[in-house]
Amino acid sequence: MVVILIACSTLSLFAEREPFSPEAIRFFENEIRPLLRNKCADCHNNQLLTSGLSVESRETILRGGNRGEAVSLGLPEESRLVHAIRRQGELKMPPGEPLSPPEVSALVRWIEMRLPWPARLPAGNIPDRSSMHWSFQPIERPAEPKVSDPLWVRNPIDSFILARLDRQGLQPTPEAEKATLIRRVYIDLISLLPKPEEVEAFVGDIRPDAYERVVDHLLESPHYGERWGRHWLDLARYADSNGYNADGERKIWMYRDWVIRALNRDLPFNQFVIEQIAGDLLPNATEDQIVATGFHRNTMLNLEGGIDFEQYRVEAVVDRVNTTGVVFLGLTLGCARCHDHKYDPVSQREFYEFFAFFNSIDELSGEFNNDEGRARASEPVLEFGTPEQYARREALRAQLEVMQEELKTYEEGLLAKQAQWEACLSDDDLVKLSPSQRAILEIPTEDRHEEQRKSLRRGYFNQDVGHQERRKAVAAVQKLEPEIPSTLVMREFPEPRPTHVLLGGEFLNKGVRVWPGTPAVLPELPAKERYTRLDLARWLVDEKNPLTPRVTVSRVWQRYFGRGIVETENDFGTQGLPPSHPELLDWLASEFVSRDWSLKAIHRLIVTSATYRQSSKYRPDTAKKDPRNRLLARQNRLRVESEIVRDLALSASNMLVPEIGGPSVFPPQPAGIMIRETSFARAGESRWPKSEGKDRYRRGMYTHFWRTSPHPALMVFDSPNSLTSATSRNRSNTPLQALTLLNDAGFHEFAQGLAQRILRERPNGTNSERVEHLFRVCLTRTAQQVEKERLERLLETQLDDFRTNPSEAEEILSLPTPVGVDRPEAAAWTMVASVVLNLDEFITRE
Amino acid sequence: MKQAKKDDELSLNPTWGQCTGFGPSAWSRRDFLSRSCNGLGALALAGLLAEELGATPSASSPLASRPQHFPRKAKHCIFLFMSGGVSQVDTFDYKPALEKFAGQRVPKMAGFSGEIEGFLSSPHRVIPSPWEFKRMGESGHYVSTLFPHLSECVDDLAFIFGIEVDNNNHGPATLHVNTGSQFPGHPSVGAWITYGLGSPNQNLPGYVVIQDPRGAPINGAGVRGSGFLPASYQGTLFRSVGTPILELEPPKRITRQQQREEFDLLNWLNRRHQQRRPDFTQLEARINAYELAFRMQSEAPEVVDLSKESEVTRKMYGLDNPVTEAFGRQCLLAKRLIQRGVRYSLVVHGVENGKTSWDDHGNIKGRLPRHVAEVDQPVAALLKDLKREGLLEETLVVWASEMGRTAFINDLDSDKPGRDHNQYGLVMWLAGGDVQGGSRVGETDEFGIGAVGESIHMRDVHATILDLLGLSDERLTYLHDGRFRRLTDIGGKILKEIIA
Repeated sequence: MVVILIACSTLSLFAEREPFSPEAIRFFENEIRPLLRNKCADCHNNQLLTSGLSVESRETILRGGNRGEAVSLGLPEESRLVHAIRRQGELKMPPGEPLSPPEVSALVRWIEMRLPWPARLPAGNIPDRSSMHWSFQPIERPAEPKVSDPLWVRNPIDSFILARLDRQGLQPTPEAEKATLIRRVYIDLISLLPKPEEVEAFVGDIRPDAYERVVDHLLESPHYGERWGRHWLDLARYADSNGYNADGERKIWMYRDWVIRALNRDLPFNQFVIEQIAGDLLPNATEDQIVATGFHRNTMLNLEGGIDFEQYRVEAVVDRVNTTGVVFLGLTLGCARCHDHKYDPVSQREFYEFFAFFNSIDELSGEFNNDEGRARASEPVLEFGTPEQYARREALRAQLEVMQEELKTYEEGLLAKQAQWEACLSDDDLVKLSPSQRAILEIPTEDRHEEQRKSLRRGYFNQDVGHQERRKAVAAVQKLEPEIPSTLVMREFPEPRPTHVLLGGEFLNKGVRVWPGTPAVLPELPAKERYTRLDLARWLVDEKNPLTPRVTVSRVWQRYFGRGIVETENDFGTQGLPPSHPELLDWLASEFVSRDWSLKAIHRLIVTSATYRQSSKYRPDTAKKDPRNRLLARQNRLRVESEIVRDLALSASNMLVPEIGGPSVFPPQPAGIMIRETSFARAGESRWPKSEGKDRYRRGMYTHFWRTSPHPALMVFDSPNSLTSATSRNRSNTPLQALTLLNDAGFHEFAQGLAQRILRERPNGTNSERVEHLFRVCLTRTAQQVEKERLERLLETQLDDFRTNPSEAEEILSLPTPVGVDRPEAAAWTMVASVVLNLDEFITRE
Repeated sequence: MKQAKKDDELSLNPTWGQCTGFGPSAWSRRDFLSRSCNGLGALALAGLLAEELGATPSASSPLASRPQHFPRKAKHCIFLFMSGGVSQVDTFDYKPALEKFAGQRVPKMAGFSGEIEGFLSSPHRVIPSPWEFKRMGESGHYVSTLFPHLSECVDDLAFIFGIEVDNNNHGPATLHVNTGSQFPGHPSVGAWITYGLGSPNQNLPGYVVIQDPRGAPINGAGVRGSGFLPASYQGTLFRSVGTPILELEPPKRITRQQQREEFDLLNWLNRRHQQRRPDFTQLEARINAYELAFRMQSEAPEVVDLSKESEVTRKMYGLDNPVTEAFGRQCLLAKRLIQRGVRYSLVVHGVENGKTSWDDHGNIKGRLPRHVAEVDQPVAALLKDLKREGLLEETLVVWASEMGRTAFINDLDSDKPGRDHNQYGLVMWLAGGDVQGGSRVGETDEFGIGAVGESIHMRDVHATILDLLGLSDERLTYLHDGRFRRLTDIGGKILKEIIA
């Protein structure tokens, strides 16, 4: 593929050809061309386009670079190029040895002559190596390969996997035991534990499609949308607060719920993308489609005093470019913000062309560097009020307007009397003024400057009883405004905001003007006068765009096997790793598109494959030949994510409140977090209004996420910080995780709940039967004899203790127990339950 | 898609680079080298390679102690952060010219942009420092008489004047000084250093944060976060009174014996599980983590228990005085952590804003002495105590704030003037390790507004801090978002003038 640099529209600007004399052309060939080739073109060519400038043709020179025009035809003194070679300004070219005086004169003369250049000379057109990169090539559906053991193959995925194993001389691992398999697929698809009776039913189901039935059942569960929605929210950098220091609350949970619903109804992925990027621009957009645009309102918002809002708006737009790049294209576009991408064929100018798509949102910007801006900081939002709420707000606002008008008139009246007031101030009045206000009184009225006038006026108004009352009345009415449910969305300006290359990535350092466009190395946008976000959205999922489906299926794969088919899940560019199974990747990508972009279809394909169903057990032969298990001769064991650690414990204890969606909740967290560990000491614990009742036991994904002080149990298990898009999570192991699972008040409650469940469900069981049940509930397996013995021994010693000191049992039990449950017994079982909730096996998907 | 690769291109063996023969790993290595030459996948591969050769921390023991890149004496760091913006012209950056210009405008100066430029072009008046400065020690540094204790240590300190930070507001500037970027999401200095060096004591966190008991600095967890580095490198908050670490103690009345029994059974079960899964380092790591947690339960409370410190020590740090007690505890705790091998402590004085912050916009004469009085004696005690025990040799101590302040104010009327923000005039000092005591680098103009001569940027200071701990700013990298990231982002110059 050839990198075509110049958009047709731009070219036409310079299409006029000037007639040059043969002498002029000779001058160019003898003096100028060698100079350009030897001194400039190493960097300023069509491939590298350093600083956006190429000297490969007259047209590209005239087009200029990121700083703007390089040459003024006929006017060397006004040409940036001449300033640079004379080293007169900030820009000094070429770097190193300056051009000799005759060389400088030749270039000056050439510009005076209006850049003579021979007509119809090929302008570069050297194929760019980097555009040959695999991920930029069209997807071709590969044929299913021949394999050594066709009987093992359940669907084409397995053929690709087995063919590769065959080449390496490895055999796949047999299917995992049924009980392991059902726990695995429950965790992967809905992230709740199967009930013991569901496990039993599956183990006893000898129909050949018993497993597929479970899979279909899970794909229809509303919890599927939660599980996979949370993966998507990582990419969307979803949070319930603005970030930066002030980190105020924001309402955007309706977007989170939109994601859950969209996945549950298996909204085709192309539509899923279009609605999130540009739902607001769709013809006759529905409310739902506008809510979806919350995707790119998950950017942070800085409301600190004294800042320039424009700087942070630019940061938000940059974040939208980076996020779009990494989420859909698997490209690190952000690298081209300050300079041309060092490795991938993306220039700085192209970065800002992409930036232009997101630069016209009617949001807080430098034009509102004041309290007015702060007041409408969340805009644009979509509101979901009742007609009564709107009517009430209208009425209140009208009332306010009248009151403020009246206040203004009153103030005018006061001002007329200010001189009089100043003249007869009593000592009591004087005390009420600040020292600096008192000082202003000494200055003759006409000598006071504006700040002083304002300050004294404030002091004067503050003392006036009538003014005080009126201000109070205004504030009281302001407080009455009803809180209308709303969510952050996108809204486009009717006329786009002009976009410029930002030199060095700095928001004040504007270079040349650019228009919306996509990187030249990727398929072209259809020809059009002016592109909008909607064009970008459609382009992202256009059938000619090979990246979006490849990136998407590889990421789905990553959630099931721990790594994507492309292991560098955030970089499909030239610096990323090549796919482990290129044909499988393309087969899956083409399957995805041909199945109308159905994610559920891809999930079903993967989880019903023999590859997925393998056991994860250790094999010395694969450990030697493929220690990182890239070829998947077995499954991988994966520690579950932070929210899921909580969900599994909730599910084991049967305390889960399975409600879907709604405002975020505040489950208990250690005392003092808000006061001592964040910078919100003054707001104090009011920023964590601990949820009581059912909201205490919601899934981890509903926990309110303050960007600057997330719930510690989430962060300790590697939740992403939601500042920028997260394409994968760490799986760390730290002592603090151990301490959280052992000692956190929340997990201690779950252990109590689990203990009660065991006692409740096995009321007359022996200890051995109860341990057995505990294992079945938590680990979906039977306990081995030695395991039972050890757990029973712990139980007995604890029980002895608690029977001797019943008050200790009371200390341990923070929850009430049902009638008939023996308190010391419940306490002893809590200890045992806690051990099982802490097992590696419990928080691992085998 | 093009069949762009041979089978061997997918490297399956993690021991690239260690091979000696012509087995599959030899192939992989050659393959890797050829790839790095033509640029294909070089970054990602280099990242993996480093990880798997043990050049970077492993997943199973992320905090294992690692060697320095080159030998430097300092093995630990205590970073003292004064939240709010310390006025340089009232503390360490002596400006006699302020007297002469008292009440007047600063003569025209160029080279400033943003808010400072605005301050200078509006009506303003110079406010001389209310405090006398004296030459101290053999080095003869001027120090404000506000610091009777610290001025005794002046020959151990190396001053850096006129440091520029990227923003003139508390939030971004605090992030810049603590993480190298004014935007959230970047690893803090302590995270980089524990990522680079691990930590000698596995029973305590490698990176501990001791905050002002009155609250957190601006940005909360952002100043101590691990950013894009793994969570293992985030600062662990240590409370200087009560239970030091979150969730350290078992729920009410579970005795240590009971918890030990729980631990034992847990480990036994995990080990059994592991026997059938010998290749899973994650499982091994989890077992280790529980052992560490148990040991941390006994070691951490012991560290914060200052009751066994001698009366002399307690007095030295000012624990007998309500003014100095809080920060004295923080400093003494920092020393005890260093003694026990903790790699990095961030010690913060001051809360976001309000009267406990160094953000002295008004009434500098009344406010600044209160802040200084709280820290002067404890900081001096820390330096002297470390020195007495021979620990200053191996401990880098850093004094920082997020910005300097202006020597003038725009409010012409205030009878209790203060000083505004100044991103160009930050002063810091370093001590310990290979720091040349009594040295200095950088110089500000006669009003202390910004650097004269070559300017010093915060990234230069960061590069120097890393260097003093034996870490190369160029080698301490982490692959993130398609490029190797580092603390200084684009690199900083080492301030050789203050290195012995």
